Amino acid sequence: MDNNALYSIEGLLTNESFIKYCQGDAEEYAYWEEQFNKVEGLRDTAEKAKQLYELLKAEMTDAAAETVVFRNIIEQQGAETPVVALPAKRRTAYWAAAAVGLIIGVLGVGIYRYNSSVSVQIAQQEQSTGKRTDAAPGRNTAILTLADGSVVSLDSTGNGEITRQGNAAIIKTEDGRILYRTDGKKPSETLYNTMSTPRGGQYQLVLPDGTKVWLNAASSIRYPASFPSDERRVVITGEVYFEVTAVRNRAGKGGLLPFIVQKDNMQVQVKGTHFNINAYDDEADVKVTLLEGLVNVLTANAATTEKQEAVLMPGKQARCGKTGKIAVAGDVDLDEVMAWKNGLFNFSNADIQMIMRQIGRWYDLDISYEGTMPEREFSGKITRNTQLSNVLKILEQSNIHFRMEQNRIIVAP
Amino acid sequence: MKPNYTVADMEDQWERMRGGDTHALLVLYEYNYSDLLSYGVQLSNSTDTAKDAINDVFLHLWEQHVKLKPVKNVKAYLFACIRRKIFHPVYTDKKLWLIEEAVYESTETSYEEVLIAMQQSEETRKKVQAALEKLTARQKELIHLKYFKNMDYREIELVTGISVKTAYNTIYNAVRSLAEELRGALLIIFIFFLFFISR
Repeated sequence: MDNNALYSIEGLLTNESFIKYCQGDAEEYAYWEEQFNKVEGLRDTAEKAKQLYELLKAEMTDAAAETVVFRNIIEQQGAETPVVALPAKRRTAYWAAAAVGLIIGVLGVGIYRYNSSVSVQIAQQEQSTGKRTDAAPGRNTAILTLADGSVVSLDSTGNGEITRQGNAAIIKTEDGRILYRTDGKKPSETLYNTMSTPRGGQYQLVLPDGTKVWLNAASSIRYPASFPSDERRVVITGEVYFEVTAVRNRAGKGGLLPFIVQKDNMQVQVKGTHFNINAYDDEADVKVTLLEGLVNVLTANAATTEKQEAVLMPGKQARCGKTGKIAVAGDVDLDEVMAWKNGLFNFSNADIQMIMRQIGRWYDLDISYEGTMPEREFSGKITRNTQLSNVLKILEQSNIHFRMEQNRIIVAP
Repeated sequence: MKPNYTVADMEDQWERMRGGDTHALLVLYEYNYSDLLSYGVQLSNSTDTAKDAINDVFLHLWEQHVKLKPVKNVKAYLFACIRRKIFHPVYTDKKLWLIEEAVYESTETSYEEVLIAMQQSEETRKKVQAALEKLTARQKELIHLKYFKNMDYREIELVTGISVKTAYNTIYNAVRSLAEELRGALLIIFIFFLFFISR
């Protein structure tokens, strides 16, 4: 190659040695300094090439990803109240704790009434195992339905490869997660699998693209065993937390491959981010809460087909009503939203009905009420990995009474 | 995709940050990040230097949030902080950070000059974006892998299946087109760069 072509901006920026120089490689630095002194005008061109290189690098830097890194820095430095209780590092510990059956600590419930508040602190103690009138907490259990309709119960299966489906091997890891290993070939047809948890169950799954999924009790996710090349689409019910892997789109556009979560007429579009969807049918709204990155929430009214869209920033929550109306709330307690995944019940100013819905799902019980429930709000945290009686004891401190009849709790003032 | 914050919205976030709201700190960080990074790169000609400067500035602001004063234009203030961090990295007098005017004075630039610098920096950034927009999707992808992911041509071939020769030619043509589009802008930055380094 002649010098004119090499010593142009495009010549330099396609040269591996010069790019290493731009990256700060010491050996290359010495070499290029020598060249700059030898070749007239080269230093100028090289400066411009490096400017272009740096400007492009800056422009390709993802502000959202850098913000996540920065947030971790300030959290490590002991900032006062982290916006997000980042569950990633604590995950293993919690799931291990769930298996061992430890009770995590001292919990408090504040009772708020007529602006006066009474706070009750109850020290939880290790509990002996279940009495007849009690219920055990939920555990890691789920059912996997394969494309051919066959069903695998995941708490009874051993570890390793459970089954094969198309070009994917379905593997259960030692810690009980499910993941897909594909052989990299294009699948001939799309095979859909459904993972569902019963009441009193939770489960973790890694989708074929590396996306991590946590299912709360009474929830499900339907997904292809191998994602097509244009989009990644899953359908959910109940409550699911996602850590979506960013995947580059090879199909043509060169951007990031969209990941779409659908629930009835609502869909959440993301590219690579962490978020929680609470879409239980017995809750008034579907709530999408963003922890990291950026998501698009879209709804369509089933009757009028009128569409709505909201863009969420981290820490915000979109509440989608049954009619498709979206309201975005900024004052969300992320610890509360993510409590289930971190092995806790966490309520702030919650009414008794909301608390009992969660208890019903986790302890696999139906709920009914007798008499008029007082309008009270409850705040407090308790581990989910405890006998039902421990949770009820705390609630009883505020003059709410419980009675068990087989699979039903009756709540009375 | 990004919400548009007005000067008043940013002031509001600033006030929340002063009150210890981490979320507001992160909003200010994320919202201003790309513009500050581009500015920092235009000043230092190094993405790494610019990134470090941004993190140092925000860490410092967060450490000192209780003592911070209200500012009239948060973005201009942040620009001035970045400029100071890059040109005068050894300043140790922490108090200087807390007052808007002092930051401007310590970089020997007035508020108005910072506003002009902001405007020029953002124009340059827009030109870079426009030049990138003119590339094909494949060119953009390869540029990303090459310069952002630091892949060599062999690795690019492994990941994309695009041969070494094709990748080389694609990037060559892409860079030529970018350099062509940005000819004027690069020259201006170059002059700026020399000017500031020499003072």
